[in-house]
Amino acid sequence: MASSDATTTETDQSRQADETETGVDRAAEPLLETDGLVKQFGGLTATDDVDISVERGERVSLIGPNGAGKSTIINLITRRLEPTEGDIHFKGQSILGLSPHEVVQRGMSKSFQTASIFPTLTVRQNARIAALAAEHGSFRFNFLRHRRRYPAVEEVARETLDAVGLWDQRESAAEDLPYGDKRRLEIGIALAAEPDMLLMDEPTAGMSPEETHATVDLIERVKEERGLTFLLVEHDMEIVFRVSDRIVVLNRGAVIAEGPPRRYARIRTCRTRTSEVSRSEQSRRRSRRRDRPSDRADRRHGGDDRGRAPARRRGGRRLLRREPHPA
Amino acid sequence: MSDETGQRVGEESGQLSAVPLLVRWRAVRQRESFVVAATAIAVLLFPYLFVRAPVISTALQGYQSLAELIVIWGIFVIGFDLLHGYTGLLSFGHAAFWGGGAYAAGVFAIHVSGSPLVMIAVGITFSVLLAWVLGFLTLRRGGIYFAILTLAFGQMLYYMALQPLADLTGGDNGLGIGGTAIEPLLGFIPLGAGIPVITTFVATWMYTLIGVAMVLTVAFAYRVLNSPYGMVFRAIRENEQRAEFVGLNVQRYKLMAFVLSGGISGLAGSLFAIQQARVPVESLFWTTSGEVVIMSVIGGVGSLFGGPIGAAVYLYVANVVQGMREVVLFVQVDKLFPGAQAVVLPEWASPADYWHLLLGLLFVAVVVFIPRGGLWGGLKSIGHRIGNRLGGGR
Repeated sequence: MASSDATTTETDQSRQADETETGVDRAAEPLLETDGLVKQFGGLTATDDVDISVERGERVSLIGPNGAGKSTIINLITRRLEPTEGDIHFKGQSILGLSPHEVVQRGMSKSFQTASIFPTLTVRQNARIAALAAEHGSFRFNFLRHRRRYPAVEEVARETLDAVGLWDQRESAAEDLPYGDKRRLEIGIALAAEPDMLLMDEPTAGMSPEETHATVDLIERVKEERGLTFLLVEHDMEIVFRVSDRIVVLNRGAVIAEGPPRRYARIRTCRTRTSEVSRSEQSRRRSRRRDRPSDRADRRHGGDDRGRAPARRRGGRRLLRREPHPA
Repeated sequence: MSDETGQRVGEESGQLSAVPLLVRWRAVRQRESFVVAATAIAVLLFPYLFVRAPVISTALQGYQSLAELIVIWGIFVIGFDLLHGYTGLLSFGHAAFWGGGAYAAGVFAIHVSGSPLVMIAVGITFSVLLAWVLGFLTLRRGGIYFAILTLAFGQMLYYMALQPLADLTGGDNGLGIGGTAIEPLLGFIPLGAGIPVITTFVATWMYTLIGVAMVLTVAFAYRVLNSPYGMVFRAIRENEQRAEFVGLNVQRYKLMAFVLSGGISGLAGSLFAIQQARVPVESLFWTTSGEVVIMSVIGGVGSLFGGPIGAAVYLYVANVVQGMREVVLFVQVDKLFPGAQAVVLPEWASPADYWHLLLGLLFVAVVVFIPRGGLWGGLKSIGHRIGNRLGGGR
C-alpha cells in the first residue's frame, strides 16, 4: 500500500508543480508531445518515427487510411502499447513507465471506438464510477465509508449527465440505451474524469446521421464550455473539418502532412455524407484559396508535393481523394 | 442498488390499499440498518423453524448441527460471491481460504489457546495474509487462467497439508482438535450450553456465535458493496478495460476484492473448525471450492442473500435428503397414533440414493430458468410482480 500512496503523492506533487509553473512556460510547452515514436509488431512497422505535438486547448485530428497507424498511436499514447522507440511527454513529463490508469489520473481521458460502458449498471452509476475514479482513483482503504458520504462525486456525475443530455435516462440500465446514447454516455464517462485532454477514437463510428450530428454538437459544446484539448481519430471528414484546429495526416505509420483544416478543403473522403457540407466547404474553399500556407511536406517520401493535398502522391488510395475543381 | 436488497416476498401481499406503504417499504428496505436487522431476525428464526417449530421441522427433518453448518457455509458463500458475483473473478481455489482458516484456527487451538474468539481472529488473519499472497500471484491473469491458477494453488495447499506438513495438520486423518481443546466463550461460557431467554430460537451459544458472525458478515459486506469499493468492484466486473481508462487502479482493487473475500472465507473456515472440533483434510480439496461455486450459483450470483440460500439448499440435499428413508405425512394414517405420521418409503421411491442427481437437476434447472439471479433472484422477481400488482410500479 505504501507504494501506491507514494505514487499518489508523487502525482499530486507533479500536479502542483504544474500549477506553480509560470504561465509563460505552460503556454510554451505542448500538452502532449510524441518524440520519434516507433512501434513495430514483428516485422511490421505500425508507426514510424512519429512526432506529434498538441498544444493546450488545441483540437487535433488524426486522419489516414485504414492501417495508417492511427489506433496504434492512440494506444501508444494511452499506454496500452509499449513503444519500440521514442518517448511521449504529457504536461512536460515522460509518461513511459506509467500504467494506463496513471496516465488517466494525470488528466488524459479516452473514449473508445465502440461504446465501452458498464452495461448492466444504470446510467447514473456509470457516471458515478467515472466521477469517483477522478476524485479517488488512486487506491485507498475506504471500503467502510458509505458512498453517500461523497457528495462531490454525485455532483460531478449529475453535471456530466446533464452535459451529455442523459440525465432523464439516469435510472435505466446502460445496456438498454440506443446506440447513439451509449456512445454519448461513453463520452460522458470520459468527461466525468474531468480531463485536460480527451482522446477520441472514432466518436461517430456506426452512428446514424442524426446521432452523428448530435455527437458533433456535443463535442463542439464541450469544446466551448470546458476548453478541452482534443486528439481525434475520425474517418468522417465532416466532423474533422467542423471540430479540428489542425489535421495530421498519417499514411503507413508516418506523418505525411499536417496543417489547419482549410488546407485540406480540397480533399474529400468517400465517406462524406451530406451534400450541404460539401457545398459549404466549397464556398469556404473559394474564399480561402488565396492565402494557403505552405505544407510541412513529408521528409522521407520526397517533397515534391508541397502545398498540395498529400493524397495525390498515392493516387490509388481511396480515403484521400482529390475532388475535381468546382466549375 | 436493488440487487442486494429486497426482502421476503409474501409480506406485502394482501392489502390493496397499501400503495403508500409499499413506497415507504421500498425506501426502508434499502437502508443498511434494516438489512442488518432483517438478517439478525432471519438468523434468529432460522434454527427454530428448521429444528424446533412444531410442524415444519418435523417435515424438514432438520437438526441443530446442520442449521449451524448452513449458516457457516452461508458466510463462506457470501465471501466467495464478493469476488465472483461482484468483481467478476471466478476463483476455483477458495478451499484454500476456508481450509486455511480452519487449519490455522485448529493448530492455534491445539498449540496455543483454544479461546474461540482468538481462534477466529487467527483464522481470519491467516486467510487474509494467504489471500494477499495468492491474489498477488494469481491476479496477473484473467478469466480461465485465473480460475486455473487459483485451483492450482488451492491443490498445492491440499497436498502440503496431506504430506509435508502432516505433523502439523494430521495429514490424511485431518486435524482432530477435540472438544476439550476448545475453551468456553470468553473463558466462562461453554459453547454447548443453552443460551438464556432465546433458547427456544437458537438453542446454544455455539449457534449464537455463528449467527453473530453471520450478521456481522452481512453488515460488513453490505457496507463494502455500498462504499466506493463496491462501485469499483462492479465496474471491474462490467468492463475492466473501461474501469482502467477512467483512471482506476484495477489491479489493486482486484487484489482487495480477493483479500476481503479470502478473509470472510477464513472466518467461515475457523467457525467450521470450532463447530466440528476437527478439520478434515478435504476442507482444502478442490471439491470444497466446487461446492461453494455450486451453492453460489444456486442461490444467485451477485446477491448477498442468495449465498446463504444456496448453502441451505445444497447442504439440505447433501445431508437430509441423502439419509431420507421416510417422509412425514400430515394425514392421519393410523388411528392409534394421532398427529403427523412418518411413512417409511419403499426402496425404489427413496430419494436417498439419488441425492447427487437431485442436486444436479436443481443446478441445471437454476442455470436454465433463472440464470441471472438464482433462487434469490427468482424470489425477488416474484416479489416485484406482487408489488407491481399492488400498484407500485418502479
